[in-house]
Amino acid sequence: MENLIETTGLCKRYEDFSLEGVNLTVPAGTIVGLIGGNGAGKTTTLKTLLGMVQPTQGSARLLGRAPGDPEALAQVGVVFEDAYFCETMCAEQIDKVMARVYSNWDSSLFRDYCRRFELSGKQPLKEFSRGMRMKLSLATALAHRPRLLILDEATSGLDPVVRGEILDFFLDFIQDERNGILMSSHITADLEKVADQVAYLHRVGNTSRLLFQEDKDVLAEQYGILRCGREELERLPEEWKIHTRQNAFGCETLVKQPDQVRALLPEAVCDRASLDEIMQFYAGRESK
Amino acid sequence: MTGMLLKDWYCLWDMLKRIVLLLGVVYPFLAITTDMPYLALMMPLLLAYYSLSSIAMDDKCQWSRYARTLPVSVQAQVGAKYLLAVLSSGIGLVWCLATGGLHCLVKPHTVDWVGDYLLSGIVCCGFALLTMAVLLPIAFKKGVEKARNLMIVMWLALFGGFYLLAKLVPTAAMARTLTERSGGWRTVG
Repeated sequence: MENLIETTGLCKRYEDFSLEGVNLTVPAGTIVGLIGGNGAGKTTTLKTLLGMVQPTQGSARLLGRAPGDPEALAQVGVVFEDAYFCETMCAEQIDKVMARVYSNWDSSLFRDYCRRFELSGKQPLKEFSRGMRMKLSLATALAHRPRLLILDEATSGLDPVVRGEILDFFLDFIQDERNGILMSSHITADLEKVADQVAYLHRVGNTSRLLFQEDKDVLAEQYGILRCGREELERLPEEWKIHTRQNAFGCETLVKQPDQVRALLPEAVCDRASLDEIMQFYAGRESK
Repeated sequence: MTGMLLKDWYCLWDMLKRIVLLLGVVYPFLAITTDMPYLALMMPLLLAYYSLSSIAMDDKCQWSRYARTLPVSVQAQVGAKYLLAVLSSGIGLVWCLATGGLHCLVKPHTVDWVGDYLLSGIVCCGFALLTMAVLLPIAFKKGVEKARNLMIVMWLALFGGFYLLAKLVPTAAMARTLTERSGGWRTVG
């Protein structure tokens, strides 16, 4: 399967923060969710992929080309947290501008998206709600028929109805198996819904690393939340235990190999771990 | 580059349309009725400075961040701002010359179109482009605020320089020169 994005040992070092050894891939036909706490380097990773910042070390390929290559960027649609157009502009003007930016811009497709998203062509952006601006950004990102969508917190701050519409749209986009999406988000529920794979950037001190990139289903098999007493917990091998929270009712532990844990402690409860729980427990381990 | 230029035009037009009456009608009207061509000569300068405003607007909506994700080279993005400065000051010059033409038509013998408008307009346009050549790189690198501050310093230096010159050069010599020049202008046409 072709990789639309491929990074090998990607590093970006700043004075007070460094992103180290990121090996990330986005295969065609998949949605990869990029998660991590605030300041974990998600946006830095995306910026490096788009050629907005130069990596300190390592390499990145975007559709088989160097980051920032205009040929590659012509096949990429980018949606950030907000629309980046001047607030006095309207959709019709954006259409005319973009037609001069992208050689493969399809004005009729853009107008179709605007109709589908119920966006007025003449209304200035300043009169749009946040949800409408995000939809406009999405229409802009899609109207040149990109193969890859890169989304940075594209659904944050949206109400559940609009978020649902946009997520459904991503699922439509991925029906063409040549396409792919890299989606950075704090809203792990969105990723649980649409992502095929999840990549987790984890920051310890001033350094961030990619802790894992796994299929969502594999993650469900690999991690579990064990609820049991301290004595039972002691019976588990240390390497299975990631972090434990003690409360009045016993211990809550993020464990690896939940099937084996269940076999070893049949009386204990071991539930599936959500992405939120995986992040929280890893963060808790580092703040001990 | 044309896409970037068109984007700037759409952004600026909203700002320009509010003062188009002032720039396009009131200033020329005052220039003609009061015989003060410098009001029209300001046009190339005023319009050229809208390139700085367009960078400020880009900063406000963080356009530059988005623009880096488009298949447009950084050179083309920067070049569009320079082109905007050239075009806007050019439009200002044309408007200034048209005002001069109207001035000569309405009030013949009061001004010299060549001296008061054409040559002075070209000098103002050149000065506008020169200041933009200095200010645009600063606006890109240090931000529009610093560029605007520098612009104020440049104007102060220019007028302060003239003021000092007037103080230093003997008044009689200055008056003679001005009288000669003034007389020269009035006799033409």
